Amino acid sequence: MMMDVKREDFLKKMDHCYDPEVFAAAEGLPPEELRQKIRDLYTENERQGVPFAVTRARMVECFLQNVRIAVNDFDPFASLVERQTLSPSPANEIIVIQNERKKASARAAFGDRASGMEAAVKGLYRSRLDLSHTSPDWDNLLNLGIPGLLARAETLCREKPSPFAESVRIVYTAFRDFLLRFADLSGRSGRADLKEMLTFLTDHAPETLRQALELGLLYREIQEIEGEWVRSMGIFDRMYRRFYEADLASGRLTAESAEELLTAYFSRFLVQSQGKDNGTPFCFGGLLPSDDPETAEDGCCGLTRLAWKVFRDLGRIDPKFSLRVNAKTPDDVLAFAAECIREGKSSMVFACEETARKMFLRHGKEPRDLANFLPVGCYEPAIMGKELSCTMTILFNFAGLFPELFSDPGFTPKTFDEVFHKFLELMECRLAESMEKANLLEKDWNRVSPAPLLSGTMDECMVRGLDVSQYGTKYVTSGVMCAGIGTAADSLAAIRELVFEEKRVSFAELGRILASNWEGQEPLRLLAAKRAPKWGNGIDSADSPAKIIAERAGDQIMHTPNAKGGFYQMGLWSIDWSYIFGRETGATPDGRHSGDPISRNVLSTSGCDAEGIAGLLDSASALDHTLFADGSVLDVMLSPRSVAGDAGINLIVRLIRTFFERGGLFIQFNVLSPAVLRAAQKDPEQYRNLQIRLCGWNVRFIDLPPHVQETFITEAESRS
Amino acid sequence: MNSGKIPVAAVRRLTIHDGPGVRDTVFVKGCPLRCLWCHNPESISAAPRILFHEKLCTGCGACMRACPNGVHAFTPEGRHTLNREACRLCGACVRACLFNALEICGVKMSVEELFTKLVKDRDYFVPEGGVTLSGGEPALYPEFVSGLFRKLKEAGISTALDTCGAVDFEHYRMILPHTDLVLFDLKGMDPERHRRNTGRDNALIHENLRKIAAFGTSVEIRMPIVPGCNDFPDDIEKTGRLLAGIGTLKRVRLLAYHSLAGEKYAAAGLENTMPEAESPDAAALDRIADVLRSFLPPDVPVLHD
Repeated sequence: MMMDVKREDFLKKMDHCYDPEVFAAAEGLPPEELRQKIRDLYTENERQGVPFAVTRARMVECFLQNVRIAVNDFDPFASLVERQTLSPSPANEIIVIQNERKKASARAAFGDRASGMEAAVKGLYRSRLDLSHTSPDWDNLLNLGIPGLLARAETLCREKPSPFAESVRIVYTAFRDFLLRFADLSGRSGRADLKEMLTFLTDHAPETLRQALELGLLYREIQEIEGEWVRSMGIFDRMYRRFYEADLASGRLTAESAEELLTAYFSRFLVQSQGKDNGTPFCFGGLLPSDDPETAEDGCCGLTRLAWKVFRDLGRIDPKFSLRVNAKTPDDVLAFAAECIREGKSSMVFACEETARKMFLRHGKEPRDLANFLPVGCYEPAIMGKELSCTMTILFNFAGLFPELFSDPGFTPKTFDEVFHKFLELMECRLAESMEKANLLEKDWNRVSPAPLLSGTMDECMVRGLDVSQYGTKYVTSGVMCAGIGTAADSLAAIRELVFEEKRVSFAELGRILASNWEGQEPLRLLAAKRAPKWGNGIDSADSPAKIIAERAGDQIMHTPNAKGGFYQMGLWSIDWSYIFGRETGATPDGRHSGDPISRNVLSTSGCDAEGIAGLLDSASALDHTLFADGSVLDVMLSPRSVAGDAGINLIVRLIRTFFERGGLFIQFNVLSPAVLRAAQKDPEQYRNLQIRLCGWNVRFIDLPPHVQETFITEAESRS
Repeated sequence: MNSGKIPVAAVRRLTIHDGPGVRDTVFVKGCPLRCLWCHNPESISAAPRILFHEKLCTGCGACMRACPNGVHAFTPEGRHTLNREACRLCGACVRACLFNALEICGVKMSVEELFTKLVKDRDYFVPEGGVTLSGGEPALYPEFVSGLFRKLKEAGISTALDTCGAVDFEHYRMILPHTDLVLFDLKGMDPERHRRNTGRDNALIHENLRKIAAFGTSVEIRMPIVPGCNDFPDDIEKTGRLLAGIGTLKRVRLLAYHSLAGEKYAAAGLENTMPEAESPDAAALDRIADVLRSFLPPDVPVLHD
């Protein structure tokens, strides 16, 4: 299957299959000319008053007709689209136009106050139009194929004509013609096998594993050309199992050639993505669809094990894997995942099915849809094919509320309860404001980014005749990512202890001290930083404020309608916004200096988890994670020594199982020794594949800025 | 039975080095042996003790100002010194130090307090983990240990006792009915060398090992291998012969000596007695393991890291 090339040579060649020279003499327009052609098309269509959905579809069509393409002589998935024209590079004129319209929308909503494409209150929140957290309905893509999806669009054009119907018809026709364009090139390039496969896909749904995988790769590429990131590659083992098993049964594949095929597939996926754009997860396992969830079987199968073996052997930073864990998840799969983690292949996240189920039901999802649960992006739960979750519509920083808490000279609290009450009031007020602002942007979604290719996979969109940007999906949710829960809880605990219990400083004086960034107040700052109770240690006095904040915010958010006919939903995570918000946030009462990072995800403040992993899990599982329909994650740092041997594998498995039994939603791990991280800082080339699961996506350690590298080294040292 | 309180040096949660599976390990204070290479010197004495971590000290002097007994002082060069004899363990300096350079080792805990803390982690212990009592020497407190182990067993939690063996067997007789596994430390067969290395000869230890096996309790042998102290071929062979007679032996684990615990002696203000020896390499451990295996049934593994 690897076209008779040795594995190492194959992987080396694969790394270079998108090199510029591959496309230099290829058929099609060079990037600059393609860019101009699309711009001209857009200008002309706007002048003629063509509905933007149709214009968008025509831009995609134009792109596919003219982009430079190539095939190679060694790769089973040889369809290569010139990379520098792809999103998010601004060289893709479709994205450039999308951004222009986004900015115009923000200006229309907020006038001069608009900062770029969003409404921002520095250090507190960003409200914006999130277009990037999507998963198509992969089942429909594979079951219907391009001809099936095109036929559906043509029917809609006849029965319910609209710009939307027309736009879907245009992009799926363009997709089919693109397959033919590739087939033709393949034939002329001596790749009869590829020509046959691609020609077959123009007339049929895929029937073999290779066809199905090729279609998925091409779909992903074209959706990102259209302008929306694909943030989940679907539930891999469930989607591809029938193809895999049929191939094995018919002899089209052997165990060996199937492994080679997946090696080619995942390494091709990596060169396509280059590990950039925060990675794209593949979901595995999980209960299969069933009328009775009690008797539902887990989806892990031979293909799961094969894919994970290939993932382990490749040792690359992309793809990232998610595993839906339930009581029936096979022990060997979980143990294998734990071994991968211990080897430093940290690009995997574990999702608890039981908590997810309760969370979805609480947020109004129908039981029959839950089998199609998958994480999009990092760990944002969604229902594949039924939901466009827009998980980063709002980014909110709990720790950013403190300047305002101290700013009112008329507020002279006599008790801690008064302070906490005021904090919650402010929080609710600012959350409401952030959601109102986001509503103004979300109303413009269809004017900014109609998505015919993505919508064409969604059943409800096609029945209702509405684009996803016209809220055509069954569930239309908007996420509020809430960051800094640890910093906020620690700050409140410090106020209680220093101001009201020990009476070391008055509330007003503490406000002045924070405004001066603790200047001349090091002893007091140390008391706040080192002595006051800290979130993440299973101590009620710090955990309790966190619980109340989460409950109040979660309740408010889930009952606030968005502009799309759905509701907002709360996420408790931060990804790298712990650093970005940190830089924007002044000193906080927990002893943190202005500009330092705020706490990450649901973690304690860095270095404040004196009780270790067990304390962290105690605190994290004290929260009600069914509140967090936009996701929540505990990211755990372990030292290699703490997970040595079989007992270490068992420990990782027990951490996952126990956190989930206690109501956790997502968990991920980094197993790192400070010595290795220091060595990687000194000799980046030698450690270019060293992965860090940075709060949601996996990145190369060597790509992190020095101050972020240092925070990971500090954490690793505290664990070693 | 009122078991009173015992001094606890530390409770380590979710460990994997003190018996099978995921475990919580309680380190008690007080030990009848004085092993030269002791890795937990702060646990030798049963009395609470102040620990001073010099690396964390900034020299701010807050401890000196807080201490009512003049324990803390600073040399003209700024070096922090402690007059431990004057310390009444009031904890004022620990509270005053904002850099965690000071701590009191040896909090007294009751069966109920420990049980409440440990039982919270029971979910992690599945399927083969549990609670290990280590030290120091937990068998010095037979009523306490049997009381705690009984409660843990009633809660479905597996129990392990890590012991040096140098305690009257009557103590074990109280503890063993509630003990699933004994982690038994063997530190050499030659009585005179044993006395030099640990302060006691080994007759009682060997006798207790045989009696524990006769009692029917499963045993894991843990052998610190300290080059130049207890790694002599004749010693190892004699150990093999002794272990061949232990019917409840489940496994033998060789623990390679290392000198990383040196800072602990400094923190506790104790003379560092650790031998100046290198860690034995894997080949040396393999050779010792092979000798032991030749005496043991094939289903008893001899392991090392």
